[in-house]
Amino acid sequence: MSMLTLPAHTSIGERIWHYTYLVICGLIFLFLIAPILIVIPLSFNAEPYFTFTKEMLSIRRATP
Amino acid sequence: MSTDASTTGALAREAAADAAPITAAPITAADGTPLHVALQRATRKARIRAFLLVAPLLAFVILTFVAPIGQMLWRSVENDSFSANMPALTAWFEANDAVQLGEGPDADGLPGEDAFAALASDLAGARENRTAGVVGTRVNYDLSGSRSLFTKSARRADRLEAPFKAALLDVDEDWGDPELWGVMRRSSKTYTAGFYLAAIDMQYDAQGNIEAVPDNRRIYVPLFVRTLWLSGLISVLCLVLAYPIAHLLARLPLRYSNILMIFVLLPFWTSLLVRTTSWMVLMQSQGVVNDLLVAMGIVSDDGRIQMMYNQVGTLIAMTHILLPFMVLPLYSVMKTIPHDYVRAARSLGATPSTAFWKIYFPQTIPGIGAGVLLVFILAVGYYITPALVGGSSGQLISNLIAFHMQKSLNWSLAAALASLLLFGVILLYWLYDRLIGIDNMKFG
Repeated sequence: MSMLTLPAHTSIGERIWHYTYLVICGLIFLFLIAPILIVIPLSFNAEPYFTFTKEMLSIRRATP
Repeated sequence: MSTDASTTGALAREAAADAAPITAAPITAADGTPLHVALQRATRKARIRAFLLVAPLLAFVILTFVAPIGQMLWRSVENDSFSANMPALTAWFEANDAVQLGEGPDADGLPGEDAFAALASDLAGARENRTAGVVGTRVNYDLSGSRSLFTKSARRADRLEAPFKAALLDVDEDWGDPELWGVMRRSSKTYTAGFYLAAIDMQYDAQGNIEAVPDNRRIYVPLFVRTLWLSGLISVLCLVLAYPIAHLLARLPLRYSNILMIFVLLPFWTSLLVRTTSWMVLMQSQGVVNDLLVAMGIVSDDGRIQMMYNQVGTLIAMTHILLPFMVLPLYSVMKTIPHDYVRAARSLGATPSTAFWKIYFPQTIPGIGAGVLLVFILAVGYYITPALVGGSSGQLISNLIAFHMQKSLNWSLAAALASLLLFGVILLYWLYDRLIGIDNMKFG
């Protein structure tokens, strides 16, 4: 039995649990990687503070 | 080899003893020395060589580990800033050890003229050596407001004239405070348990008995409790989050798990500060998560959730930062568990949950032990993340140790707090060893 393909005899409950488990794992991976990914848009921030607004999408340097 | 040599040596001695009455000539080596002497010389050379080989490492460990920690432990019981700078008064305190405060000759609860004369001469000395601030700071630990008393009196020390008691009381009437004299008596002792008492929210009262400090000034014990509680919670959260993904990583084919492993390793390799700052951006009240929740209409614009600068912030950021330390030991243990055991259990009729709890889970306990211990011990000493995202309710004991090292400059109290933390961790390690066994632990 591989992790991705379930054998034919798997019951409905097991199938549901299996996909729930994969979703949970996906969310945990998201939790792990989100703070790293958030740094990338932040580096284009043109304002002196870390915000997510229209003005942030600029390649000009922030003017204090 | 050494066993061989010693046995041979013993045999040689026995043989020599047996032979002694008959021939009197001991068995000798080729150069004429007795055999056991020659053997000892040879093994001593080997021992010295072995010691010289580890000597650099030993010196390194002593220099960088044993010495600093020993110095810290020493500093937590030793503080000579009073006794070194106020020699005459210290000598008076030692000589009049039996005199209890409140029984002074003048019945005003104060010592007599000789003590004030010693104080005046010490203040004059402190003025010359510019140490009045040091002494004042030491007394100030136990009685706030006394630092300025010492610096002010030291400035006028050269104008003091006998009778000194009246002169000093004239400079500042605080010198007539019996509590101050009690504090000075205790401060004059170079070796004191006072800093450990302060670190567990205790103090000496005017009679020198140990008592708990008033409720509103108890900070260290609640902070220790909070540190242990938050570290425990973080360990449990890390375990709950790490277990599923470690299981997934261990069970997936290598080409998928290698890609997913990046999700664990990338945060692991990223700077602590970058990750903490990212969490501040994500979770602050005007941050990404709150913006999303408002946009989706889950919370109103006024009701934004406060997730940063409090305990929740510390909890989330530290769980994230310490998660890889849990995933990696778990993964390495799970990787070695063949899936055939679970399959065998299933084929024998076990339900999925029985197969998991009875067959799979017990085999992962070495990894859980290693991960939980690692995360807990790291969390107990964590400092940067709580300082940045903890606000006031999410501060841990390390932040207060740093405060006493950097701001209040009460190094002895910082050392006492750090020693208590160290003993606590050692105690937990000992408990872990007793309950689970340290040789059951697997880091990889």
